[in-house]
Amino acid sequence: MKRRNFFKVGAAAVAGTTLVSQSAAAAGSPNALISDRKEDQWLHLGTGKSETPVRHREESYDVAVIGGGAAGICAAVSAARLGRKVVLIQDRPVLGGNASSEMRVHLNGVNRLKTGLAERETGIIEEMLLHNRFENPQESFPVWDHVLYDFVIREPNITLMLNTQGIEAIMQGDRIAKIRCWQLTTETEYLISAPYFIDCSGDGLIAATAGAEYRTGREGKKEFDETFAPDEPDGWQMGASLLMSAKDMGKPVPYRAPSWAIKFDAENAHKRRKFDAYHEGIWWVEVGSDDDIIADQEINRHKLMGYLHGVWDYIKNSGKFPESANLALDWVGSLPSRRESRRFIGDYIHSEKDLTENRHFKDAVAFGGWGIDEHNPGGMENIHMAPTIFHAHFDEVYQVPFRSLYSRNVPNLLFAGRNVSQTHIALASSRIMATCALMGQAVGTAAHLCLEQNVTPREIAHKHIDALQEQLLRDDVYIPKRPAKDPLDLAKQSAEIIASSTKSGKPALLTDGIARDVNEDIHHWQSAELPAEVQLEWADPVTLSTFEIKCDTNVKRNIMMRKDSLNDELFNNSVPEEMVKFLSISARVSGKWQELGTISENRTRLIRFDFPPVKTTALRVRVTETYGKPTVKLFEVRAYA
Amino acid sequence: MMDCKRTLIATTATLLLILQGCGVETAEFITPGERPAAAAFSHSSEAGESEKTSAHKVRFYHPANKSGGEETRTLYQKFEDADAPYRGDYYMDVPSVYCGEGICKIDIVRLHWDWLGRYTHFSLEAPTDLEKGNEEDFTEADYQKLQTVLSNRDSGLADLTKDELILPNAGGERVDGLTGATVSLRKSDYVEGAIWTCYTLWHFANGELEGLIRNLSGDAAPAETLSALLATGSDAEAAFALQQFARRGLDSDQVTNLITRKLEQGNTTLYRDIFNYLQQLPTEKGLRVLQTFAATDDSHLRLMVLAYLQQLHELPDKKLLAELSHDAARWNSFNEIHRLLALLQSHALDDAEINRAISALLHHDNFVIARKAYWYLKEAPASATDHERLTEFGEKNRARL
Repeated sequence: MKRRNFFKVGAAAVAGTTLVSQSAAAAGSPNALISDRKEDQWLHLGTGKSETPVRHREESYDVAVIGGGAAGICAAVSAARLGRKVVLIQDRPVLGGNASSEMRVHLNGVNRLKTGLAERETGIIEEMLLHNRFENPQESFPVWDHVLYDFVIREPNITLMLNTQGIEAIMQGDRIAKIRCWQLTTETEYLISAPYFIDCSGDGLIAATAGAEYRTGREGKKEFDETFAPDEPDGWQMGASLLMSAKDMGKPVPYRAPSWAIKFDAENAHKRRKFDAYHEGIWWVEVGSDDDIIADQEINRHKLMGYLHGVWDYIKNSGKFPESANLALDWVGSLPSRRESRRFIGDYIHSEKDLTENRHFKDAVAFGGWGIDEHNPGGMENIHMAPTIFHAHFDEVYQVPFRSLYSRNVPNLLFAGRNVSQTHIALASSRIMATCALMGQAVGTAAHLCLEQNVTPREIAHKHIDALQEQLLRDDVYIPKRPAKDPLDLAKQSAEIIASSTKSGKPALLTDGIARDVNEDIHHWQSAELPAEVQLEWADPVTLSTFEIKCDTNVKRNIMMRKDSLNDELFNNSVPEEMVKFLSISARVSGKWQELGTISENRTRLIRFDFPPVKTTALRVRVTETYGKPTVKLFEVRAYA
Repeated sequence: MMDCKRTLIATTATLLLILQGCGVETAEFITPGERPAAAAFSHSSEAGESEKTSAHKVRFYHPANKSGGEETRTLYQKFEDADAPYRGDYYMDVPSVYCGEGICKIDIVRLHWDWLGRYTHFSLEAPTDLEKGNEEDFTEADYQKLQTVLSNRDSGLADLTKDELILPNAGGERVDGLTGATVSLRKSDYVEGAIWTCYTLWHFANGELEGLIRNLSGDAAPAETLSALLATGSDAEAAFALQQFARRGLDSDQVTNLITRKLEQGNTTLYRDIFNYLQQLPTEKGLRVLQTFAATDDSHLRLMVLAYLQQLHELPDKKLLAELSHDAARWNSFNEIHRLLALLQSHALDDAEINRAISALLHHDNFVIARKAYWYLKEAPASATDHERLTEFGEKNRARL
């Protein structure tokens, strides 16, 4: 823990050490192209021709998203659904980042507050997890990869580029004009231009090569008045973990550690290095760095593989785990799941007190609530220390401000995920994937608004934050302490809302702007039975073409896929029984009810009906079936012209 | 002289030290902080007059019982008032914990209920002290908290199964360092370190036994007593009487007259029980009670009348529907009008008087109500006058229909 890195790096400083020079790249010289194939000696046996393969492409999009983890997917999908042409660039063969089958970390979020309950994220991340509940009930990680693939490629406005790494930003003044990408599988260089770029890649190579300011390491206590920070700043970054899983072979199976295994030092290991459910991986097989953690990655990967086998050797051969006799490794990771590296600097740096004092931000766009979970500096290399310290747990969720999600010195660069503008201590909580996903949806939506208003992200923060928040709320993001007040929502103008029968709540709460129950405050209407109806009456006719409903999916119960497939009060391994399955809506036109739409197998919390414009004075929702509950609970209805 | 026991009792407000003889209990209140050590509880006192107690073998389910089947225990009923045998309080000795993790010390706890099945307090026989999971004895604060927990009928403990109670690896312990086993409950719902004790005792205190006690008391109460409770008892006693009438299928003019009186008094807390009772009566009798209230000013009561009529399969009394329709002109609730018109529509009534009454709604101050009536009447056969009114309304409000 010797030194601290505070980088203010120009693009040339970074790019110059690894890639082509910034000036050459900026000039767009063909000499700079990685895919220059002029020297090829290619005889095409099929055609008999000798030609030069062309593997260089230039493409333009409205928004370029780098990184296909939870944050990147949500950024891409949100911008695409709002009508923007989006490219999603992912350097791996699969989507999902740390949660992909390559790494298999649980996609956690606000799993449990001090109240004992979850406060689950909604919006796009929930839709992804629900999609998985339908398509992957077997809870297979490789199938989850394909669920995410489906979730992305079904969006007509998204171009997905897998096995493609964004390696360099090409600048025009202080803005990113293009990014240079290399697609490993096709030996193709891409130059992607876009007015706005979103770096959700975790390590943030594109943002770094753009010259976006960033920092690494731990802030000292003083800088942000952080209780849990070290007295003095240093360079430590939380490590990456390498997971594995084992299966029961039904008979004893011997295990011999490979040559590179590093013996587990059980004698000196801290007692909190527990072996609970070790057959599903041990998260504290982790190695960090106090310097350039990115440069250390391959060294650390090799160490982690050694530590993983060393720990497994201890489990199998120390005699302390006789129940492991029949277990054999079924899957071992080769790609460590990273927690921390660069943190880019925005107009605001989110820090410990923002979380612990539950500070309110006028530009709040996301929330978090995982405890401040700071992993041991050094990981396995500090074996005598506890693997993590939970400095704090939360009574309620905290807000994430939009000003921490864009660069303060590169005006068309946004970011989401673990690389956002925050201190090391804030990261110890907000790095959790579902929290990152909320940030992703916020920046994807913001990029759309930047295009719509022709402004920078900074101007969104200062002049258009209401528009951003309203769009997010409409798209089912929960922003704590920020009720929706969309003036275009005609449901709020209805004269009456009545319901067939009521078990709890009130029909009038369906337009109160808060789409979940918060602490003891009820914001729902629940029927006493099924079928059940809700009816909106307007004093004067309104013309409608969209009707939206937010139904119950029980946000107090987690729905992420887990290796242990937990199913209890807090974790659910099936489709939430509360969710609406079968419903229809009708409008009253000239005194007659006219059906506008029916959904027989609804799969989302936010249910949207689009229909040809209809002039009406009343709209009726009829819910016939849920996925198990004998009643239906709704949180919001909205109507739009 | 008989041996007597000193007993620790917790009520919501205080800890009590009970000097329990074979018949008489005297109480010494001990405020938190003053509770003597458990070992000091051993005591004896003069026996008093013998208390009359009867024992009932009862069978019921307890969600923490691993067998999953019914269990049989003895429930004791104390008779303190010979003139009112139904009024005796109840108690039962139960195990302090159905252990979920196989590492619990099991004590006997005496739970007490009043004659309406409402849990009142618990007591322990000295020198017993309840123990938490970490082998520490309950503190005074823990006993107070336990009493609060057991007294909360809306506790989160109610809906949990025993398998849902403990989260062995809450929140991702296996992958990302969230520590320790914990419980899926609000902290106010349990004593920390004693979740299984709280769960076990709460379900004894507030589970099926509550209904069994009410029925035992109800069986001991003659119909006249139940009538008296309905007439002059507290809300809880009146609700008890209504439930027992319904359970025993008792039906008399006296009862319906009493219910009418309760409805006249506008006691909304009893409406649900009254509704449930009336639903069990022959329709004719139920209607007889409710038709008195067709013109009530009480919106809750009107909704009850409408709900009652809605659930009838046969066509309700037209006279009652006509009365409601006439009265609707002064209703201000769109919801009530909506329900009334839905009721009329469901029976496809062709009644000139009712239609005339509904047409009065065309002049309602609330336009949404007036329009609702308009569309109803457009579907119903109308007289020439009604037709004229409808046309006039339609033309005047053409843009708002």
